[in-house]
Amino acid sequence: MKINLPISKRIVNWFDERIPVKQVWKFLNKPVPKDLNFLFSLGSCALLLMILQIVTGVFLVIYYVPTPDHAYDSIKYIEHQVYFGKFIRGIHHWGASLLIIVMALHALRTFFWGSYKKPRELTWIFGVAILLVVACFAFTGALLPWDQKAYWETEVGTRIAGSAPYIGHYILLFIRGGETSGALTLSRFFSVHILFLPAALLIVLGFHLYLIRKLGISGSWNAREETPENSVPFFPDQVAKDIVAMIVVLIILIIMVNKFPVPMDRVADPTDLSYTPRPQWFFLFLYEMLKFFPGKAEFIGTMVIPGLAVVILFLVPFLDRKPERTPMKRLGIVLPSILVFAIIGLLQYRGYIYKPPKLAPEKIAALPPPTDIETKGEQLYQKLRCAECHKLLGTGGTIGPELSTVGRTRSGEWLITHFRNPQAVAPGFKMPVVEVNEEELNALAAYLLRQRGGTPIQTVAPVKKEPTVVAGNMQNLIAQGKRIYDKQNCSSCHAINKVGGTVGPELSGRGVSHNVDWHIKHFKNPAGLVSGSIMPPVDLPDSELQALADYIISLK
Amino acid sequence: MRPYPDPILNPEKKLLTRRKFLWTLVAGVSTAIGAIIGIPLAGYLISPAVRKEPDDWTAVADLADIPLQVPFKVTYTSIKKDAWLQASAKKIVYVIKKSENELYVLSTVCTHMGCLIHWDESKKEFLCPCHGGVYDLDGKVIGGPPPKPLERLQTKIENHQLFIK
Repeated sequence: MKINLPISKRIVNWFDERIPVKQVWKFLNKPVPKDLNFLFSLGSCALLLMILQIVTGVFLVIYYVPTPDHAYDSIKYIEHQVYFGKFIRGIHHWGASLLIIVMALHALRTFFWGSYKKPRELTWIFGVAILLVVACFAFTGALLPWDQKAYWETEVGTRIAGSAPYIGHYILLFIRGGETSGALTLSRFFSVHILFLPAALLIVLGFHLYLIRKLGISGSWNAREETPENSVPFFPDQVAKDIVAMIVVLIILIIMVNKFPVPMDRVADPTDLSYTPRPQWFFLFLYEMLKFFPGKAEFIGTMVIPGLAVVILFLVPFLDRKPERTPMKRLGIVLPSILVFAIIGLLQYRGYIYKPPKLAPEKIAALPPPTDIETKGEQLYQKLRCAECHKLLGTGGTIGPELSTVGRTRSGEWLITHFRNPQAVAPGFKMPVVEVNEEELNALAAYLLRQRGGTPIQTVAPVKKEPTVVAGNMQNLIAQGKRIYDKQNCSSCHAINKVGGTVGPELSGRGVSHNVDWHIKHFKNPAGLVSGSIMPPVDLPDSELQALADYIISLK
Repeated sequence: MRPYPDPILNPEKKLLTRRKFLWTLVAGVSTAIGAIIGIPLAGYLISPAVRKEPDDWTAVADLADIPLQVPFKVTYTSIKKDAWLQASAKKIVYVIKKSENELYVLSTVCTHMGCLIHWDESKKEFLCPCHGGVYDLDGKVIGGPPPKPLERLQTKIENHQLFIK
């Protein structure tokens, strides 16, 4: 008898004799109310965004390395060296924000439509659990890029856990894996983000989806009979509505990804106490609320109120038990909630417009005249070409941090340790070792300690550019190029025969890999020719660039 | 929305019913979503396998410096880029100019166990110190256990400079 059936049906039947395929399909295809508006597709949109987070997250792990010395570089690698790396990371970054917005709208829809009422209390409870898991995802994921923002956000965010009475400090130690955030925090957050939380999400999301199918969709708040006339099959009628909403959300996400590059700060520096962290936008209202609970009352803002809010959120179906679903007839719960939403909105807005005060200029009547050692430091600062990367007194590069107030945020000891071995201060630092003697290190530190953001006083005249030597022949050009190489302090980043820095590539042997034109173009715009290059442009007249190129080409 | 059935021209089963339209919509949009995400993911995944890192040519010698018929030993620094890491290593190769038109570069790594071979000028052979492998000027095995001739490196010549990869 089955012989006459088409092959597809026979395959289905074969499976159905072993596992309940048809029953599962019937379960999935449970009819839904006919008059669902697009707000009822928000849940599906959230599901799509979650799937995107999981898929892009799994792919990001292919290249990401969760250690302080590689995390930042590996993300830069994803951004600049991997096909579609920017796109995939963008989807993961902005998708997280969009997911939170869509989930919040979905929760509001459920709330105002009273969809949590009997028999759907558990669906609501699992929904709240999903929200909490997603918040944990957002918190742990934010640390992973290991830039300044990520690091300090976590350093402060974890301190909130530490504000709990009595056991706060132990919780803090547990979360960070030590007294301060560091390598252990990063690997903890990473494994929680990619292993523990996805497992938790799978469980709560599984229950949530099962219950939606099991109990059906609540639909319009007007009570009416569920009859075959006012319901449609889930496939394809409701799915078609959902999928149209999903592609709209995806298009919005792609526009966000293309319009806004994922922000990337400098690599994390745990010793930079001057950094003012700001939480991610969706935690702003919590951050703003803390300002109302100064001192000992802090834990009311960090623990009591958020804790109560979560408990109330879980209990919503039990606080509002009458079968009535129209919002106008549930004013007892709807009005206070609107007040709460308004307060959250207001706090969010306040947090959004708040600008952290900048380090105010120090009031110094008159900076004492520089001592000899400070003057010597200033000469060294110019000689070593620190300004190629650092900004000071209004001029300089942007590769390293600005130094205008460095005297107020760093100690002399820190500066010297950092000169000797920048990577010892913060792994991942690109700054080359400052190779001068002890006395000179002290002088440089003394000069920088003078930089307190007061009135700029420049005592040493800037080094004048040497007049261009009119090249007689190749040898002259090469010699001139070598002088320029030394004067520009190229060796702080590049090595010739292993002498020099390791930030940039070694130049010996490799020197003639390119012709003169390439080198000159490269000097003018390094990142334009070598993607991801952090080399500062060499700001010299063409004739000098020519000499420098000839010199580099002469290296074998 | 609902198409008008024409019982003569269109037998019923060929009609675009609402249900069929919705199924097509669902299938089409899901495929679009899959492609929008799937194609970048595939590119992302195969990226390191297909993406060429530029600049892996290293200049090792000036053509004028290379003698005829005698292996010319060159030591150079090879920069090994490993994703976001970078390491430099000293490497040695032999440049052989057989005639004015024929030039090749031999690796100094013995194909047997990876020891470093050297040129013995008196015997006019490359000798491996480990297990007695012997190669001729072309890098062909003429004695000992090596299974393959010496590896030849890719070369290019630009501005009288010899580059290898």
